[in-house]
Amino acid sequence: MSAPTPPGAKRHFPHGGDSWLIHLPLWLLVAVTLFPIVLLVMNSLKPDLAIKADPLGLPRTLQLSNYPEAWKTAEFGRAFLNSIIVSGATILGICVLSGLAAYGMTRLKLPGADTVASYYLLAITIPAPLFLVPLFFLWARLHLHDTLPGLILVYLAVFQPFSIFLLRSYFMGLPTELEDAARVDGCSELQVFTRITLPLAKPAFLTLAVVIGTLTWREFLFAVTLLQKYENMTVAIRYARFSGLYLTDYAQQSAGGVMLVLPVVILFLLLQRRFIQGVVSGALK
Amino acid sequence: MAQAVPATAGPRDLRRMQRRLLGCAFVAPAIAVHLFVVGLPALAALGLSLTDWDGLRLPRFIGLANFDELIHRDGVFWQAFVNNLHWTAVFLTVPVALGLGTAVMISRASRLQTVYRVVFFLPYVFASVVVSRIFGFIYNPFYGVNKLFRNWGLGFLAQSWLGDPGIALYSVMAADVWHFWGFDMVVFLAALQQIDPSLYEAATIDGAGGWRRFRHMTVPLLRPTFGFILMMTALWSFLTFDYVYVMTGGGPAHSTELMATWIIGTAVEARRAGYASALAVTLTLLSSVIIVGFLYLRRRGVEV
Repeated sequence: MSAPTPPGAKRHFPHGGDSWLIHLPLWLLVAVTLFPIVLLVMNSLKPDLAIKADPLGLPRTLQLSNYPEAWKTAEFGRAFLNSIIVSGATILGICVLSGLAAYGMTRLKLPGADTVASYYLLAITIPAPLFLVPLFFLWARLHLHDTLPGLILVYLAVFQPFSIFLLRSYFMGLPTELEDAARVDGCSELQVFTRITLPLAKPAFLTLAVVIGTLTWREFLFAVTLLQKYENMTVAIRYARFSGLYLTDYAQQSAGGVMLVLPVVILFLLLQRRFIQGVVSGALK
Repeated sequence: MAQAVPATAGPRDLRRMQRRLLGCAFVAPAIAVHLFVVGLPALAALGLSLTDWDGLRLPRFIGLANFDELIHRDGVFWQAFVNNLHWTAVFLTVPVALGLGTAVMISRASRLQTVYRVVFFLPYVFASVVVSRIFGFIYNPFYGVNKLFRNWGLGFLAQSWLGDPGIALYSVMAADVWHFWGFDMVVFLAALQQIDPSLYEAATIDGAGGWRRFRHMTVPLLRPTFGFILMMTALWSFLTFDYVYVMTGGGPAHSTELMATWIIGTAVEARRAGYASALAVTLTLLSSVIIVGFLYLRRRGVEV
């Protein structure tokens, strides 16, 4: 092991090397992890009868028609539109609300900024059922029940603590010299925010958008509690209903499942580094 | 903090005032939304827990009668609580061990790190409904894994995975573990990569073997990460909802019922707003025991 370490190699464990002792268990885990996903994709391409006759068999004939059929039966068109509206509005609203709040807390000498931070820390520990039960009845009173704005409003609140802490720690890591220079040059506070800090913080906002978009896309508890009418449902809820009705039609059920997860999976594969960074950011500090 | 502005406030003081006002204006919308959706309803639940309310008429004050009912006559809630404890025990161990072990292995690999990380984290981005359906297929008594067992002459291994009250809860958990453990893995991996490699080199030169480096360096250096993961896992385990709701609906015979599914069912289907609030308040008390426990340990100097 006296050979020089190749460039780019991790040298955390000098004696570690790359023995099969490491890669063999990892590949076994890869197989276990991918098995259900491969099964889902395979089932989505087989006729239902073939799935039942031979659950693990490779598809003999590709039945691509499962996809348009599931799309039609589940009426995914409207559901996708709903989900795009909900995720889009949530991403936008969260970026505005949390961006302003995090900036106010870190840069604007807000009296009581620590109290605000403690409030959000406490908010993380509030179990969802505690506010969801009164909210369910309050939303009915305010005619927000079973509406997309009602659901979006809930997401704008529940994703706030995570978002504010993510942006806050990013802002705290940014140097203040540029902002001070801009102030000396006569920029107003609002201009400092929009012209100096926001452009610098673009990567953080992009990370936030990706993570919040994914969480919203797959969110289940609030959507299933607050949406009732078929035409209001997001894809995740519509899929739950549809796959419940067609519980034993595994071909259609699997095709629908692939369509539900595909947008998020593509987004994740394209931006995996940023994505994982964003999810982990709350954990390490 | 608030200082009196001198009568002859210069432009600097004006600027500072302006900055503070703007700070309030920046934070206010976020706080207002959060209070409206989370803060105030959570407080309202405390009051509602003392009432009998169907969500339509005026709430009727009934004192502690709801709590009397839930302590003495609501066997399902306590069954659900025990199920949540099982859930917590499994999630505090299995995904944590799997995540840490895998993260250590990946950090030692000099190739394919990204591939492993992406593959193991992939299930986390899947919607819980889809994961539930995939595992629903795997657990299907006729077409799923049972059929494979029979084909291989291992028919005695076939189970009624979701129908047998003795194992249904663990079958549901397996789906969630598959979905979740990658989260623990990426958190541990990120923490491992923050450790200064020269520490390990020094220890190796001093003759510390792989296990001793892990036991006496990696584990202590990861303590804060452990603390975060264990506390969040415990909190989340008390709130689990999706998998049970989709896969079993709490059945058979409430053997997979969890506190969250029982509470939401009581509110949404039975429309018992007051009683569901009492259940939610109890859930909050039970989960705050966990938080207080962690804070106590931390204050005692046990670094968790």
